Amino acid sequence: MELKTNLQGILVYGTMGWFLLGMLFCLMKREKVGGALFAVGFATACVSFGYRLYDVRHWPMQNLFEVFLSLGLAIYPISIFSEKKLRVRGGVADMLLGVIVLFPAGFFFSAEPTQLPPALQSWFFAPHVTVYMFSYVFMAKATFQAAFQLAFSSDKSRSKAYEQATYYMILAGFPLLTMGLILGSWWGKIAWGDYWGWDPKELWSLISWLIYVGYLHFRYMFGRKYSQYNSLLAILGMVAIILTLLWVNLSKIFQGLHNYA
Amino acid sequence: MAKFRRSIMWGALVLITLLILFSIYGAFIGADRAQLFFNTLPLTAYWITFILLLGVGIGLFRRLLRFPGLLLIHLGCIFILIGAMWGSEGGHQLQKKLLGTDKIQTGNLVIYEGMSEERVLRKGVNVNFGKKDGTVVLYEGDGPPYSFLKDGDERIFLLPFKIKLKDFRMDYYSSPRLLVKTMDGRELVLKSINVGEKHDLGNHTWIKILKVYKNFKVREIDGKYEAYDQDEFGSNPAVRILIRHADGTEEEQFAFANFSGHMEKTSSLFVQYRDGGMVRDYFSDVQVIDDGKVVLKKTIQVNDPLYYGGYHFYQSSYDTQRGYYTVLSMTSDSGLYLVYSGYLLLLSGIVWQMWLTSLFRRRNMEITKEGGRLGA
Repeated sequence: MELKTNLQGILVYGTMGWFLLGMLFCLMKREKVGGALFAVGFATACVSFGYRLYDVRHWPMQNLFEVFLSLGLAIYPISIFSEKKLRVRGGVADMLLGVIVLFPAGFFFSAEPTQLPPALQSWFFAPHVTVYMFSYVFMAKATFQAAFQLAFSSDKSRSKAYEQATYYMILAGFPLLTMGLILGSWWGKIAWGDYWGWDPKELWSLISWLIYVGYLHFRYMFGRKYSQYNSLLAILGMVAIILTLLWVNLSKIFQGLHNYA
Repeated sequence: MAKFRRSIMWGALVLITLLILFSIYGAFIGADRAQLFFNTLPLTAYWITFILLLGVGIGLFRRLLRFPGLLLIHLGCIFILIGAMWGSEGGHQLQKKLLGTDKIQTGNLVIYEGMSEERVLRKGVNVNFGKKDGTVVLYEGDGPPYSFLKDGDERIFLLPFKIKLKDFRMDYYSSPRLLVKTMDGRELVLKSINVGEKHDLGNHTWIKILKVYKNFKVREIDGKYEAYDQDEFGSNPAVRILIRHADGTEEEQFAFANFSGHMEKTSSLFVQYRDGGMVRDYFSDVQVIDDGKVVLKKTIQVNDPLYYGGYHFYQSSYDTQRGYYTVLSMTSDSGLYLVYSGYLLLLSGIVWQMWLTSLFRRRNMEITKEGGRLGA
């Protein structure tokens, strides 16, 4: 655990602070003020991301610090999009999610700038990682909705609403998850010679994707009768994403081509 | 019929679950063993079952035909699986039997600068190589007598064309530089190191670059020791500099990249030679020679392979000692465009079905309105 006392660190903690303050106001039923603070947090996240971009001189999604920094940036636009366009409200849960994803960037991962190895110097780099970041945020929102569905399963009306909200979030995030997988595969062919190298990171990404494929098939066939299982599968998908993002990169068990991340 | 459809759907869920379990196992055993595992006979049977189930599903579920997005998704999966099987090691053997095509799935070429190569070492073949009498030889054994691989050895695949390496080079994030510390505590960085160049250090002192060595060695000639650049394996970058002091005296000094603490006793300056740091990229300038003619010229680099004759050639490795040769990995394009077509079908189907048909359709929004605002 490390405290970052440089400008980058202050911007990360600042974003977290605005999100927490926004949460506090929302919990005090001052939702407008909470929403405004959430927006200020997003503006701080933009400055933080922009500063990182300037500092490292490449798309800042190379290491885990930058990945979590980007996730913190993606929360607000996805929250607003989900609320306005999909009618799935995030509110306090989204602000909490912002704090959760920025916590590792602020306290765990090194912000030491690193140069891009040759394999990452490609136009695929930015879109491949960016679509994954956006899909992860949608899937994280789906997980919150699924958890609420399980918590309120006795209340039929709320349970149904949460179940549908989970489904909508997965419908929004799954195409992005697929795009990330396909872009990665295409890039792998150009950089390493094969579109599928059976690398641990590739396999864990496939596992995450397959769990959501399973969710969509199960929901279509048996979902109305066993809606709790839909939610469990949605949560399981997020567990696989977390393993893909963290365990595969941090553990020495899974040595492979993606170990630079 | 409904029961049969139900059992097909259960079958799909079982196959998806099995693939998840296989993938978890594959992630733990490492990429090489996982590739072998997913190409074993039982897994081949699994992939064929998957393709058949997808086909049966398209025939049985009218919904898949009614919604073009869903149809594209399932067709895309079939394309990807067939393309991947066609491009696998077994797929290449099948192509040889059925169509008589003589292609290999993957292999490596070692090409020395200025030389042409057509011999591809098949996947997993690990032999030594080196130059002998102006030609490149492949051999086995740690010491003499060596066993040389001959043309026709089954571990070697011969391409119907040759690839000539004109030049191999690397680009670094920073260029080599000299760090100079003077007796009065000043620190200077000299970023330009060209033979004959003079650098003014101030206080009427300057440094002149006399020679740059890639592989510094010392030899004895007629009882005298002489520094020279050895044109063989090894890497010992160094520079020879002339220092002119304020009082008009001159002295020569060596600085070594591999021995940054080196300092000659007579020197009043501490000079360090630093190489370029992290590699930015690797470049192999190659020519494709077909029927004795140069048909293609290309600089292969990471993320920019060469494509010729149904194969892609990638920058894979290089001579770490002197940069005299490059190692290119080669992959067949069999089944590749079927896989890419599958990707296109799958992605367009998913976007069509999930975003355009389901998510942003008014009907769904109305369902949402019934329940009020959703979520926490």
